[in-house]
Amino acid sequence: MHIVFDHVSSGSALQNFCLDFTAWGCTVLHDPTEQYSQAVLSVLMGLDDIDAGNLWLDDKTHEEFLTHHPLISTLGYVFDEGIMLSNLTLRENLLLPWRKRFEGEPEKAFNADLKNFMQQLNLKIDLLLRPASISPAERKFMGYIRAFMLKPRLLLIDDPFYLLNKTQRNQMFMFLNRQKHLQPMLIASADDEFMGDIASQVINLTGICSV
Amino acid sequence: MTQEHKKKSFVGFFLFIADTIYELAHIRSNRHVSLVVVMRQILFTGVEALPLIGFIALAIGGLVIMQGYAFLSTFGQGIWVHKILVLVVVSELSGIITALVVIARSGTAISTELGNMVVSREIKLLKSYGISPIGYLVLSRIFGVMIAMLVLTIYFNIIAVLGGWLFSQFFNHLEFRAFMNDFLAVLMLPQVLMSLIKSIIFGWIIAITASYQGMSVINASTEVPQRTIKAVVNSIFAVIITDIAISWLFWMLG
Repeated sequence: MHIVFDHVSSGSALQNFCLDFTAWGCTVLHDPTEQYSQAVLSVLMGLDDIDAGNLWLDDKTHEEFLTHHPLISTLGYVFDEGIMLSNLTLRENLLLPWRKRFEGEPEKAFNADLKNFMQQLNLKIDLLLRPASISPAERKFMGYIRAFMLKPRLLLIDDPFYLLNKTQRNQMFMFLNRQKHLQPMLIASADDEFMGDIASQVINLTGICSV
Repeated sequence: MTQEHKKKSFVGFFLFIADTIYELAHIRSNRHVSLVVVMRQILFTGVEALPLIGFIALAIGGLVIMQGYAFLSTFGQGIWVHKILVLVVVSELSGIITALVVIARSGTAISTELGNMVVSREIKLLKSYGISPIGYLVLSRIFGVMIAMLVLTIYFNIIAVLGGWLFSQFFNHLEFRAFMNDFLAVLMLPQVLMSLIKSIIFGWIIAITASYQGMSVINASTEVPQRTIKAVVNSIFAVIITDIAISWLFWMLG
């Protein structure tokens, strides 16, 4: 997916921001100052408004592109904090976007996919619990599973290691390394680990033109 | 609050109403507006409020009969006590008191819940699925509160009449059938209709005001109680003004 930020201003985070790149494989937005990366992903998802400038996706404006391509099948988002809807169970939290994405598909497919991802991440959690009943790191893992199950064209991941301890980081790193061949990703991170083997390409946001 | 801010929030409220109408018009594309969420809202707003509403209705019905009978019987006009029960309880008090209970329980709950969802970025999560938070969260609450208000008002009226009959036993031993015959003789269809129309409109006002205030939280948890207070105050004002307007309209229509 060809993404162009053309003098984009959004809130206080992005001011006259320019960036032109093609996301493929595992693209890492390396942002040691953590100044822009989250805002870039938020604007891409349409969570933050664009006050000025243009955002182009495959040579179409963001709005025009999303009119023809449903957001849920085009872009997925893993929040840094592993956010879940607090009034739903974990299973309902995963099922809600899945049903929207794969309308009419039998729940059997959902169950099989979920089991597969939970095994890969070595998770043993009662899915009938509410999100408040599990640890923030477990919520984050479930957030990853939810996003990967939607199989979007490009998955945006904000600060992949946030809330995870060293063991969980290693586990997640291996998981992402396996998934990068199956799911195109755009990772925003300040961690140097993502500069190495996992990245298909690294875009360094330090000193990017934002005035 | 500055004049500019007040103006903005006034315009914002009407834009919010316009958004809900838009989402309602596109209800077919909002298939995720789940019946389960509506049922949960009815359970919380309606079913769980039954004991409190029942207690208040019983007391109000009884007190109206007691005071009315004590006053009217001094003129030998005790028969008119049923007319007072219909005019005061069915036409006016049932809707207003039920609305006040629903504001205190559900209005505050909706505003707080939605405000906390904004702070914990759950609203953004819904947006990231391409799901409209108004379609998913607000419409289901509006439906739930409107249905619950209607049912609670009918329940209030029934219990208040029963309370009236129970208390009337203290003054003259009237058979239930005789009491109901007198009551139904003065109960007119427009009064019942007015009571039901009011309850549905009050339900809409409470749900939309609480939802608007909840969704207006920007990012700090300290805003949540402030918005909840605004939801309560604004709902009470709106409900009373609407009550006067509907009563006046029915009075004009005769």
